[in-house]
Amino acid sequence: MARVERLARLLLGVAPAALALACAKPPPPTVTLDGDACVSAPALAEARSVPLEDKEVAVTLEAGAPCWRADDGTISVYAMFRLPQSAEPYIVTVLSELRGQSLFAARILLLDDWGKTVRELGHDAFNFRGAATGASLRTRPDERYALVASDPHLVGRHLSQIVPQVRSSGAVLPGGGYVPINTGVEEIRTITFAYSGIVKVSARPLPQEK
Amino acid sequence: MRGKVIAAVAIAAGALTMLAGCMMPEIPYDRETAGGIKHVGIVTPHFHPEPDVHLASSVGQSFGLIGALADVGLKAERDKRFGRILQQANFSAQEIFTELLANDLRARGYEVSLIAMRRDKDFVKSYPVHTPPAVDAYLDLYALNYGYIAAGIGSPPYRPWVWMRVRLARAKDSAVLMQDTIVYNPVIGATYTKAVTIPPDPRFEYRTFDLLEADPAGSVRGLRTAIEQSAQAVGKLLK
Repeated sequence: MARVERLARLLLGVAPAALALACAKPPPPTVTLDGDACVSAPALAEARSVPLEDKEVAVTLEAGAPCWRADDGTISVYAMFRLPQSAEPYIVTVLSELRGQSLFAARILLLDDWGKTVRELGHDAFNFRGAATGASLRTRPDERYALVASDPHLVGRHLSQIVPQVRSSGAVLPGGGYVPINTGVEEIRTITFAYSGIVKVSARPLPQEK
Repeated sequence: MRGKVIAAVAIAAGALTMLAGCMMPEIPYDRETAGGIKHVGIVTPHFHPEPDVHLASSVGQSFGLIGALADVGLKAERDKRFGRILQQANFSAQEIFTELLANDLRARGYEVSLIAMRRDKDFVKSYPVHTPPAVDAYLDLYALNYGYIAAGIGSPPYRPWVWMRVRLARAKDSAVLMQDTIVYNPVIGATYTKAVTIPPDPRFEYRTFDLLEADPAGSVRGLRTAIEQSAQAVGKLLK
């Protein structure tokens, strides 16, 4: 009994914090950077490992996210990912997911073992996939790291999209039984390409040929 | 009556099939390493002769089989009436899509041939091997749906809708070089999370089907825009 009471007290204590977390508004899009704290080259040591198991590795980019200043003065926020070692090419998918109104303005640089850029996919390689933009690629032999970096030409651009959808609910009848109720609704999704957002990277083998 | 019951069951089964179909994994194309794909043969894309004018949620859905039967009848009537509009406008979704796609691919540096084939609502089972013209790869496409869709009655209006699958297969060994799903005006949200989605153009919307029917020129133009943007999305996957 005392144990149940302790659990109840614990839950009561945690509930307001959980509620506050659930109701917390995501931060507004970050579209400017002073760049004072930016490094001169992205650090390979910070790379997060991506398994070859179709499991997403997620990074939330917000104030204080790593950034680097290129030789031409361009500032980019970034997240570094270490790609799986494999003798066979495989598929890497980079998703930039909406967080509030922020969509990380992503481009992808593929780096070799020494951090040299061997391929770059600009923001035009991305397509909308629902509430995210995504780009997939087949890896090539020298590519060891995927550097997902902000595209300075895209940051600050806005767009809005119509999002129609069907919501399902239902009603229990007085005499028993259940009636499904589907209704059509729509909203306007407002998007700002930003230095902030959520980036998810995954890797999976190429499907076997028939 | 029996036919309508079968139709209702078929629609329910079809919806499930469509949901399952959405899970087709995306395979990205790498033009540089694909093995010299310069000449693409577009296999006659499949578009059903009659368009879909779909109401994604309706009162009928709350009333079991009877409601489903009513929905089937209403939808068939809308399909037929919009089909008539397309016919009167001499509008063939398949021909327009093929032409726009061929132009898009040529602009991206591909040589393009049209490969006439009779086919169903699925990818082609086997591609021609020794039939001229000799192409490097076959671009195989079929529309699951095209026409107009509304999320519900009244408030979310009817807007153009295209839902298609695309595959590029190497001619010499049928290896899949690219495959994806494209949806213009994705209404059934979660169903399309892995597809390339194109939000609808707000210029083309009709609060009711009667209003859509009363504007044949505008409704055809709306569908053409959806088809055009879908063709561009396919081209982009092959850049």
